[in-house]
Amino acid sequence: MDLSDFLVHVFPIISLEILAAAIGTYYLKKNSVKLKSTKHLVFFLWLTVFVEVVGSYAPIAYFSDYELFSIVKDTEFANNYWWYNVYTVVSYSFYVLYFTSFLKNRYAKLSFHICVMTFLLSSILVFIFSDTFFNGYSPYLIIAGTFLLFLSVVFFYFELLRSDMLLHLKRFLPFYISVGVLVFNLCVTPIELFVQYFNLEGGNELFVKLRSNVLFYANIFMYSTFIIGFLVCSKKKKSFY
Amino acid sequence: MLKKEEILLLVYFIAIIFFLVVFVVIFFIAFQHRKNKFLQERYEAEQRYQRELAASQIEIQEQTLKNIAWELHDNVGQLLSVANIQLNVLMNNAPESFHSQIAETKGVIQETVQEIRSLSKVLNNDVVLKNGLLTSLQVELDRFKRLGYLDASLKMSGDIVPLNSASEIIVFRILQEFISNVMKHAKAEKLFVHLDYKEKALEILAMDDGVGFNTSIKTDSSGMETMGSRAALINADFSIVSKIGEGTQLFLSYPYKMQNEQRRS
Repeated sequence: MDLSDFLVHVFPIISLEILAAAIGTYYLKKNSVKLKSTKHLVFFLWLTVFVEVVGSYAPIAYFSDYELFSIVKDTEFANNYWWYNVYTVVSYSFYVLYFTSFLKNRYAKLSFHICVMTFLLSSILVFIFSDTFFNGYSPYLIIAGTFLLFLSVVFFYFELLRSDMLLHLKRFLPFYISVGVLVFNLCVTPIELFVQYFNLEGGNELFVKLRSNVLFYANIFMYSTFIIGFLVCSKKKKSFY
Repeated sequence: MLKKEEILLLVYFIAIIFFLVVFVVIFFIAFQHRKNKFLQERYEAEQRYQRELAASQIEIQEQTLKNIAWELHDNVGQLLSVANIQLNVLMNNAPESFHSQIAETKGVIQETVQEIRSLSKVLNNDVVLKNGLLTSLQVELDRFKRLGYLDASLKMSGDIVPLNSASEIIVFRILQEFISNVMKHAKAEKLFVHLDYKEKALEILAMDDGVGFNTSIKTDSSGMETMGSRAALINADFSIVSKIGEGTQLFLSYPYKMQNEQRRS
């Protein structure tokens, strides 16, 4: 695995992310969407692009034998775990809040908000009191976040089943988002639990290959779903959210 | 280091999760698709039922009107004619001083016969069909003008396109309903009807200068609904615009194309 391998895997993902964010912006402009959660979603997509671009400093430094970004060599910032740790927590919280914003039940909404707050607080505690912040992903946070996300999507689907929006499912943007996010997070979580084996020392080539591939296809699936959703929803005469 | 089996297990789990989620999503979509189809079918059946109901109502109404028209024309008309003959006989036998009064009564009876004739003409759909929409409308408007209720005028533009007979009757009945509503409620002095035979559709505008009404308030009278459902029956665009104090306008746009399709089917 060298730089070209890395670029082959990362370049399509970043361009897809930029495309998704751009099409999301186009969708906002074309349909003059007023709903806040959709605006937040597009903003979050741009944030993801930013995070990915900044986060790629670590592999670039690694593959160039620390000729580039030589400051980070032998520091705790040599890996970008810290960066993605923060992003992962933000992303779980964002998606949970996004899907709960469609719930009508006040108590369910409130409990999800409390859960998100607890999740954020406990993740700060985990980052402070455990050594995973710079060395890997905390399994506790990944499992809790995925579980919370899964629950919020389930609640969102129940809400969908009860509402008339079910009749216009094809033009209902959050449905596309939910499919993409659900598949991505559920599929990526098992592999992220073993992230400490993601290094080329000690004969982990198989796992490295697997993780790269899973992340690659999961990202492609998620962002293609987003793009399709944005396009379908902006094409029809009237779309929702 | 991870063993090969462990990695296989990972792959297995990821595959299972992926297919499970995809399955659930597809199931969800299929479910909503089926549900939508079911709802749509039910809605269409309801619509079909409503259309048939409206059509049969119209049929019954036309039959009733025809019967009344026959009764008026053949029965009441004949009786009045007999009364007229009786008056003639009476006139010959009565003293001079009664003559002017009897002549007046005869005049009234003759007028009544005339009115009944023209009334029966617009009630009977066969006669309406024979005379055509324009002539029948003229007869109807003239009748109201003669009775002194309304100053009604009719304008026609474009080349007359023959309508399908059932539609013609329905268009005529809608206008009739509108005119009778104008008479009953609008306190209008003028009524203007414009038939515009355009290239693709017959556009009808009828307006009065009466008191108008608030279109947002639902009334008990079924007149508006009847007009609407009849217009829907012939696929015509129908709308009534009115404001209190500004009179009422009726727009009806009947596309010819539909009528050909209906004929074909």
